[in-house]
Amino acid sequence: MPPDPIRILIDRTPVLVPPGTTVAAAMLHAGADRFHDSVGGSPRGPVCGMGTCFECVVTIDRRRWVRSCLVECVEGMEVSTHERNP
Amino acid sequence: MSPDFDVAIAGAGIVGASCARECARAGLRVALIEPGITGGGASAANMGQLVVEDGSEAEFLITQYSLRLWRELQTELPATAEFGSVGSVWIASNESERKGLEEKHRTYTRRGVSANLLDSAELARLEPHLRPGLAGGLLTPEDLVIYPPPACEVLVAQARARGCRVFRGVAARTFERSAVRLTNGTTVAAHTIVNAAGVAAPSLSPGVPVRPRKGQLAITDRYPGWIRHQLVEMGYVERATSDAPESISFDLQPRQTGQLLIGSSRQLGNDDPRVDPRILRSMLDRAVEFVPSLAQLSVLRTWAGFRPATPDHLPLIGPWPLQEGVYLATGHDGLGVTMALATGRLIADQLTGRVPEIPITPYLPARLGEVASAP
Amino acid sequence: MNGIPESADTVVVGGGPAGIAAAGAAAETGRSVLLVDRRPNLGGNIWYRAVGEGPAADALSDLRRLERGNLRVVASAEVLDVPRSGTALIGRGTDATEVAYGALVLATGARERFLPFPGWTLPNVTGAGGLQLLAKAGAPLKGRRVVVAGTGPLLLAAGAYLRGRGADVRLIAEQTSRRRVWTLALGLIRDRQRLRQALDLRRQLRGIPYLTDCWPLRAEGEGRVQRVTLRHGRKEWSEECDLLACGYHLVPNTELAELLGCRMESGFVTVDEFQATSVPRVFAAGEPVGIGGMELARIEGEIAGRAATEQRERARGLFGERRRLARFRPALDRAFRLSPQLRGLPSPETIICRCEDVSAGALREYGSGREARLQTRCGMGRCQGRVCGPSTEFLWGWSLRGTRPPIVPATVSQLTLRPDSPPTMRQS
Repeated sequence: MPPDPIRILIDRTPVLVPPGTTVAAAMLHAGADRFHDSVGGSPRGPVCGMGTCFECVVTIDRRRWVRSCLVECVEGMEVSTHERNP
Repeated sequence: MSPDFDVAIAGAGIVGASCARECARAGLRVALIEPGITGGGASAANMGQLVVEDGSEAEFLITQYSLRLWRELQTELPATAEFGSVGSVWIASNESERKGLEEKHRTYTRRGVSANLLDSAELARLEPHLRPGLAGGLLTPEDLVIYPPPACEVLVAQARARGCRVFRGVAARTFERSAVRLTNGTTVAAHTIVNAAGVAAPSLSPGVPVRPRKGQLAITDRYPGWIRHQLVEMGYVERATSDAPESISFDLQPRQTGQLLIGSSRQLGNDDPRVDPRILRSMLDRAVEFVPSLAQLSVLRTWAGFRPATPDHLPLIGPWPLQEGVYLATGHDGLGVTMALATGRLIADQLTGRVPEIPITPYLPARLGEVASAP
Repeated sequence: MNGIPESADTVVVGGGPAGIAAAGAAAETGRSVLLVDRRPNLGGNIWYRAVGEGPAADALSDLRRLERGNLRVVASAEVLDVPRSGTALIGRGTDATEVAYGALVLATGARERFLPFPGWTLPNVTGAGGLQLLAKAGAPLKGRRVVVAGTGPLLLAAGAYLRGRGADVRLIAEQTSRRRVWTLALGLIRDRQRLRQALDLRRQLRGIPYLTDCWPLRAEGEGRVQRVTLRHGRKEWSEECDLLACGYHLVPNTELAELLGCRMESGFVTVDEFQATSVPRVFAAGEPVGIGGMELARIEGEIAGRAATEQRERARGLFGERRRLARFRPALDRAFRLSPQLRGLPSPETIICRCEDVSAGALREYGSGREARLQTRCGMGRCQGRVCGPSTEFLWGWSLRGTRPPIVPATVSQLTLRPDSPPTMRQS
């Protein structure tokens, strides 16, 4: 029996992923490749996959600028991309 | 044989660059000597505050004068200099500090500086991230902020446009009669020498009463709108250590990037360039006491810099009695960026015989009498 | 309540092959060991554990060794600072703990080098190893057209993995010359294990063009990469693609070593035969000492773990094998040296510093990294120069990075050792 999937919200849209999936992978899985906007307003997404480039940063729950490639999805997590930040 | 230059300036920090610009504009032949990069010392490390000081008359006059000159320069500064007016809010934590705010308000008003008293509720409305229960505040809306390195570049560029010659990657090693000997062995011949070397000034002019007053800062990631004004506390936390006094105080500045610059600390006589974690922690702790939500913010960088401090908290602008033909333009402590433009002007005034706009006596190095003539 | 103990005889930083070996070796003495890694699981990059799978086969026995002894593993944790000699500030989430250590082993691995070219900042332009990692972490690949580019053995490993997961790998563009690749390949003949690995990869990649003297000139697309223009000798053409996985070999993660004041040479940490750095009680193993692959990292970790816990004779017994495994290192360096032509790729509009959006045109006039940094903010962003540092070093010989704490962004709560309460983010 495969384990129960984990449900997170990405910009308020629910997404189901297998346990162990990182938030970055969950976003790509959901077709969201615009993780944040650069200082000049250009869309950016993950590059290094290992927490060194800081391009996969999103807001998770109430914490901004989190490297989503280093964080495993936890049930109920709320992920927002930069443009949806207040 | 006539020297190549009228004036040789040691140090292209914000003060030296300003001196170069003013002297060049006044028609003097200028040499500017810089071992590192333009504006790379204390000029790069500070909070970039441009404030009118409400302390002594001498402090007030020079800072007011200099701020006027900064406003005039504004249109010539690039966007990267982040020249802007966020205004400051002085914060009182208790009744005694609140009385201090009223005194400050009176002084500013008397001197024509815009200032508004805020009660506890108004303060909270103005800055929602401040903790509740503070006694009050004083808003000085016209306080300015700048990011100095690009401004420094502009000053040097303007000096060069008027014929100033810049000697980069080489330092002044000694001052001689009408000449500066450089670390590469060559000399720069000039009628007059200006020592604008900041904390290194005493190494070129022995006996100059300048000591490093170390400061540390931290900058956060981008949180636009978290705070709206520069926030400064009225008090400070002083710690007497074994031989050198140190203190930290709450000083929080929003940058145009949305980053928050967190300060500030003072360690007199300390020239260790490493960030002291104890001081950093103290400073951040203090900041969180005033803005609790700061705790969750991400810090990207920390650094340390050295303010050139004098015994009486006034800069040294004028002839240095112990070396013929040498002028000092240093000792600005934490107000170097603020006072830089006025300093340049006052130096150029003295070298050309122009009448300065403000009295220069309080800033003359000779004022320090006994100290100045001590070995 | 972050699970980080306040002291350990040996603290090992980095849970890849080197760190796992070091921790296991140290734990055999019965002394307390703390192993930290920034990821939620151990394995580092080479042994990165894919979603739904078990640990890598060759990691199993090393991982089993960690179950014995007085050893704590703390995942999702990073060293932020070393505020005093013998004390590491280790952060997890938005908490941090000061950990007193007797010995420190730096097994911080390496990261990919990214070189800028027009369009490289478009979403879905990733590293080569980067895409492999993202795929292992759950990113979908089935049917997606991928161009793999850059340089290094990682391109082959990544290409094979991606194909194995259903990606349509269009080609692998290797910037080095054919001659260099053949020289390296011929050098493998003597090393049976590597030869076997290479042939295996070749089999997995059958049908995928592997072009040498080939690299991407620019990436283009609306909101994400949709095509990449490549150059191969005198030929130029465009490939439609969904993903461009491009990385130029590896650079060592030496921030912690530099913060500690370890002696460095050519960007790597100098160590003696016991993997000891110039700083007392600090050891280094794996990529920070030299890019040399998994087996070398592992044995260096073993030696470091033993040396750190006074098992010097047992460490000495491994010197021979280390020497044998290290033989390959210079050949690897030579084979994948970067072509000077790659310096000509950025146009004035090409972003060099991604964090602060500083373009090549804005940077060209500066003579040093420090000057550029102060005037343009290049290198002052969140990655703390990890991306633009290696690229500007290659492009212009700059040295962009400083060594002040925190060596990775840290919250004010972490730097003041306050608890993050209530927590700002859910944690696994």
